[in-house]
Amino acid sequence: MDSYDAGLDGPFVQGDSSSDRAVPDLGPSPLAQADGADPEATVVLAQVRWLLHDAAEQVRLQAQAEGLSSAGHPLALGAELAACEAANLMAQPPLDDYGPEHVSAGVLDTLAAAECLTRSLPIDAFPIGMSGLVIRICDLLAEATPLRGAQQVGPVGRQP
Amino acid sequence: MTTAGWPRPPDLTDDPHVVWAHDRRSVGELLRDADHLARDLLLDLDGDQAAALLRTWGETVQAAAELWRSLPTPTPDAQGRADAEILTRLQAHAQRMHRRQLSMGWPGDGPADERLLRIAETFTRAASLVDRFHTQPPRPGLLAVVRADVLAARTRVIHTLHVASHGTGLAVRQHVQNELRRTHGSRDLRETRAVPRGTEALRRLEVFERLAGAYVGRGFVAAAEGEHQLQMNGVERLHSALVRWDIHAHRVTAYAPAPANLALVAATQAYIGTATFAVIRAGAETGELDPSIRVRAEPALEATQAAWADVAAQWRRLTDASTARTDPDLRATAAEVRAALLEITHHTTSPASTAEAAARADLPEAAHSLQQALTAAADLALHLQDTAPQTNANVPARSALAAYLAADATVFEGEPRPNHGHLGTLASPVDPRALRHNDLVPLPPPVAARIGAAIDLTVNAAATAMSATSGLDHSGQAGAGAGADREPPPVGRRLVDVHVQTKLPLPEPGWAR
Repeated sequence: MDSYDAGLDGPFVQGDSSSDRAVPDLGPSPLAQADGADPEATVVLAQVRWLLHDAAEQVRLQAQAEGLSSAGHPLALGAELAACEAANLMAQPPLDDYGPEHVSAGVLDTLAAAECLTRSLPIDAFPIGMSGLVIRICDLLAEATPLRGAQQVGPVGRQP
Repeated sequence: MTTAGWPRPPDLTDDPHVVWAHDRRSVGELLRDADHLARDLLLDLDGDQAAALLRTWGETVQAAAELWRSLPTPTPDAQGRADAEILTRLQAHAQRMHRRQLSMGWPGDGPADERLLRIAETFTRAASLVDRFHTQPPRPGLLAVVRADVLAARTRVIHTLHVASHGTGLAVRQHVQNELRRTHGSRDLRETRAVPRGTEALRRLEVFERLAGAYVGRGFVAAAEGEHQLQMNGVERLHSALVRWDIHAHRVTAYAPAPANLALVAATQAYIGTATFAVIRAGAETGELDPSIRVRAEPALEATQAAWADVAAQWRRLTDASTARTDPDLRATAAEVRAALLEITHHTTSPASTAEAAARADLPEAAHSLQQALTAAADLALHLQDTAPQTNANVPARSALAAYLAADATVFEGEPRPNHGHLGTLASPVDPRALRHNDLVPLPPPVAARIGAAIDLTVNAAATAMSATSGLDHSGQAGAGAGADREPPPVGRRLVDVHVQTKLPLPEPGWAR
């Protein structure tokens, strides 16, 4: 569909299906989906939750090994809280965890992957409250970035 | 589709329907790009960008408001009209903020922020498209799909403003922290004026963020959801957060002891132990707390942190995607505890130095609040010990099996293991049919025993930590040493307290078991 074609639906079409198949043509509004969750959004949320959970585990293991002074403790709790938030956004959680058995990426890459996943669908395709989760993940990314290679606070996760 | 690497569009002409020939994005795609630009802004921030962001903020909100007004009202009912007014409120708020900035003379003239400008241009482009192709007035019979699409467009606009306001607020907050650090100890009002004017801008941005967040979220929440607040010179936020946490943790442990909730309770308690040590260390190194408290508290806090972390790991192992939901109030209060502690122990996104932590909060007061939290934690551990055996937790079968295999290796270490039949110790107590469908099953006894052992350890460790930090009331402040120049000598009741405290022998670890 030509993006400028007013057509039946006018210019409000939420995506150009010829250029970006990941965008649904007509994204349901969050108000309209209060009773029923978009199954695709639920899968994305489950993946995001798994990645956040994995990031929390990575940081926690490293922080426990480093002791009380490790800078990883607040990041681990932050990632866990974000994982909880993602879980709470799923109206009907899937039975599967939607995560690989082992992730070779470091904490920063895992968090970045979670953030990228939230971009795979428009915000209105997700349940109400997703906007806050997006902000939380971006904040975690900012928190995790200084830890990479910061020798004075000890490395976190499997960062080089 | 991304906007990275695109040539800058030409300046807008007087023609509101100007069309850039190379820009083939639909309204939906433009709004998505604006969302991504706002997220990119959030990922690349520092305090030096605060002035440019504030200069451009009003323009961004103005562009969003123009786009908002060009969209038809999706629903003719009262709720639809009320929702449609949200951007009018946000725009008015941004205008008041702009006028206040003019009167305060900050940020003044200077460069704009390119990223916010790109967002504003994207909004303007979208408004131009809507104006050009959708000029008929709103009507009650608007097609349902179009109505849903308009609602989605409105959500994307507010979401973008929500994210961008959060990013702008973070930059301003970092700016204020930088100024506090730079002007620490200065009494020159010309030097320190950046702090109050930055603080005021931050408060206004926080209001904006909450208004926008209420539209795209679930409305206002009781707790602050872990968002940053600027209360540099006090521990009221910390104290309030810890009190609320204590209440919610006890409530959840008693009435909703699902593994996911218990894991979050234990993980937050572990973090409180870590943060307590950070505060005590900062206080001891700056002379605000008696250094001997640090020596006494460190091993006890390390033990209680490890014990709570182990309990959290045990419960966390029993959750998966289908059982990971946590109590929303519990999560919100845990986030608030974390945020309140980060305000003291962290500078921007890195651990604060001890001097910074001391400049940011009254460390003896913060340590006193944390000591009370550790006392409450000891009670919580006992509460958990009482309720855990009665907790008839049903957990996912696959998680139960994984936890069983892990517990099997620790509980029966060095002891003869029970015979489970022809498969020996590898035999699973979990029904294979339940495993196939990952049904909920009762907690296998070895797993329950392993958790019980971890809780017992936590009870002891929490009691020890409570004892070891018992000197963190006001009598734990440094006396005639380094801190004497900032504290008046104790008089009256406080003198009696100090005297009594110094006469008491040091508590032995575990005396309160």
